Amino acid sequence: MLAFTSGTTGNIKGVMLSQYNIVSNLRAAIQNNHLKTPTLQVLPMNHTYGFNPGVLTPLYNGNTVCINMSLKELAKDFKFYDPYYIGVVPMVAEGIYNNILREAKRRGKEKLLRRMIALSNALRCVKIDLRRLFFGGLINRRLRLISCGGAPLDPFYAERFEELGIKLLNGYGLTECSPLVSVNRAADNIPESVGRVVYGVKVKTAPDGEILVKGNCVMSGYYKDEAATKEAMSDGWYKTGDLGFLENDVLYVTGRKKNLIILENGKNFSPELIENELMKLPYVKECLIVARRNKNSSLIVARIFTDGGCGGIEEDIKRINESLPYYMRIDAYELEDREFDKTSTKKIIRSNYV
Amino acid sequence: MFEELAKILKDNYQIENIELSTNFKKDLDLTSFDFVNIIALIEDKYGIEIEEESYRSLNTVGDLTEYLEGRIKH
Repeated sequence: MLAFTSGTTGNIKGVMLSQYNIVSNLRAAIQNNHLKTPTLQVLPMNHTYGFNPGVLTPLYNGNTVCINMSLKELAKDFKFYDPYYIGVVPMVAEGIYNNILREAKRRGKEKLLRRMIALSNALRCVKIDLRRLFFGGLINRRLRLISCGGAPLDPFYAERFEELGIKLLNGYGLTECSPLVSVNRAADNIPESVGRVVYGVKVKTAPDGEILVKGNCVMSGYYKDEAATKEAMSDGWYKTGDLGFLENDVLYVTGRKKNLIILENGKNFSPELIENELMKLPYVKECLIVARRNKNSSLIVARIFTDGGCGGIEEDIKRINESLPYYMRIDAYELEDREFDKTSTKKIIRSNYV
Repeated sequence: MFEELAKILKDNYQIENIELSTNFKKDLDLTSFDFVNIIALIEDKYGIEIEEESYRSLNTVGDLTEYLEGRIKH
């Protein structure tokens, strides 16, 4: 399989995943949670997360895979296919929960729902579990597990789904690791973490906190890019570019060393791709692309330092946007009144502006 | 059409005080998932289908209003 990613920086690269990489990762994936049929496949299948754990794993496990053709149909598909589990990104998990609240509000049943949740929580304190009875039909009858990855998850939502009797299981992976590195287990869900490292995979942290991965799942390399492949490995360990730590065999991701923008829908890209386009404009001296997180969505902001003239910048940005995939488009621009802070080697200190 | 759109946004998302220039992402903080849900509501209400390719040009309330006025006439 050849899957594409920005890696930790720079241009899109082709990740070479051998059959051994993929199959060992599938076998590892099914060992963490009891996956019952059917599953609803929602994520794009041209990404390893959507395809390997999303389609191949359930097929390997003997589950039926129901394919959702568009997020528009998600609510209908839930009712029609009645899946036991699905794999999503944080934006979709949050969206599903917010839709439940919105629907309740629209029907004037918001207070009732909140009271039932409070009652159910109180009963659970005395070991009486009526969640299936109370909330069984909210999304669909059978849903028990939602696995979530691709971007950081707010543990708040894991707690909210738990109240409804659904386990929202946070996990962690990268295209270069086939992709699954770790996932939470229903029996032992720690929403602040990204779960336990899966079978056949070893994780350790470098002195600066960077998460390093070794094992059957690590790619054979980047296609026709030996330099990038060498850069990404360190002594046989793959350098993820993410920062974190292990505690009692549970992995926590605390930040990002790599220069990558990761959106709540799991899409990620290197800001340099857009910055390079902006730098082609004659009046742009320096620029930085940053993602500003609102409560729900992220805005991509171009911070630009010009040589004084910037007439036509809006048309130029519009033109650049037309050449970019939709998720990479610049939402807003800001003109800086001075140069960006730089290191002694004249590189912009990105962390000062994020 | 603007009033009808405003009603859909108000009833389902408790969004008020919108203008034609209101941007779904920048001003209303709607994710692409929320946007798709709104499209689904509109499709159900008017019995039309809006192609995914069209989403790119529907960034503001005004864009959507104009698009729907064009579609519903036919």
